[in-house]
Amino acid sequence: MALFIYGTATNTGKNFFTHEDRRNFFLRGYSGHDGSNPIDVWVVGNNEKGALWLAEASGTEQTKAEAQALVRAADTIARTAWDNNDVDGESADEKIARIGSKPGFISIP
Amino acid sequence: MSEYKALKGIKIKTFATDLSGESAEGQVFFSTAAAQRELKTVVKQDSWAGGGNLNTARNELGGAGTQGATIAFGGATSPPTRVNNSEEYNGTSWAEGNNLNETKSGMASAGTQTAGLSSAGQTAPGTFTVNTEEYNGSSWTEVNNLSTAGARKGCGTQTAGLVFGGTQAPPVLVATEEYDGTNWTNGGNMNIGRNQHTGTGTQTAALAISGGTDPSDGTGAVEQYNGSTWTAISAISTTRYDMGSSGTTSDALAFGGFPATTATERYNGSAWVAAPTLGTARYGMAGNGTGTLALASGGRAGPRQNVTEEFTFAFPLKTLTDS
Repeated sequence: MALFIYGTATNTGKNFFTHEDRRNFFLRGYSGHDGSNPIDVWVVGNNEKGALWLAEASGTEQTKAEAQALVRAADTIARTAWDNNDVDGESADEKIARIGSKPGFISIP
Repeated sequence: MSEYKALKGIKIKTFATDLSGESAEGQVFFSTAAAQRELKTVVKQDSWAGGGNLNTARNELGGAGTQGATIAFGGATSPPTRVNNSEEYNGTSWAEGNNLNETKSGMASAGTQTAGLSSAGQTAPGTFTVNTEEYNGSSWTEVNNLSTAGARKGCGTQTAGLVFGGTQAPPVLVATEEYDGTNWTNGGNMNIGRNQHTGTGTQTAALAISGGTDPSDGTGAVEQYNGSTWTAISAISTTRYDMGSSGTTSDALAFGGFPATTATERYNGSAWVAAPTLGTARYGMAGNGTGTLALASGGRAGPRQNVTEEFTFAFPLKTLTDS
């Protein structure tokens, strides 16, 4: 049996996930992008309570590859924005000091 | 009907006063503390749960107060535009408050929701401020400036604030400044200059945690301030930039960070140990509260986020019922 379920669901705020949820199943959220809008991507422990949580969150189940692609799309947008954020005459170190290091690509578990 | 002793081999004890705390975790007991006698147990709660979303998604924001009464201010939205928005959290939801007088990100934060302090920060690419503003629970007022401009970190209270390290893109700073509610004075320099670190504690007992030592190198080193000098203490396990933190020098929490991570570590006064992870991987969030009741607000991992999470380490009572 796969360790995780992958899905998208909008984080609606307070009690979107609870302390009890965190006890009952693995949960980790990432920023994704579907080509039009940002989207929250969730890696959920593959048990009954995890599956129920994703369903009750009105989530859409994804394959791992689909979930990873959504996260990679968000990473790509962030990296492109970083590349395009230039100031004339600025060194590479000065740029990192000004806006932080270039975002990397995140691999979901 | 089965008896508990037949199932478990032991009888349930009766207590007139409810059991509490870590030593009672998992114990089932019959409580006569109230008129309605109940079967109870003590459960451990040690996790991050979802809080109400910020109205304005942002990173590099300031945050001060407790888990249930926080003020969040300033920061950068997506695309990177600095804001002066101020929001108040009541433990459930965020409400817009009166804005900072200056639009900025990367402020040093201190104080409470009714007595907050915002010091220094970045107002535009390559432009930093020395302005200090005080929040009285209703509005922000400009007060005396600190000496060294920069995107900086801080802790303490509105009448006993501390600002340390940071950057002026470049250099990274070692300077420490102390605020007494009216004036700023120099404190002892940090041993390691750093920016994008995180800080927590008080003016006389503070922690400076991890961060960047120059634009392309980081440190997991942690230093502790005693009101006059900084001393190296145990390093965190994973070097990260832009974490959030909360608590004191004897009970602190450090969470998230760059590269975007959910990792959380807890400091007990002598060592850092892994703690339950954030729900959403991110960096550049505001962190405030205590080591056992913390709040992580905003941040980014790609886009800026409005996510808020609440950390709770507690041992609440649970009443056992048939259902």
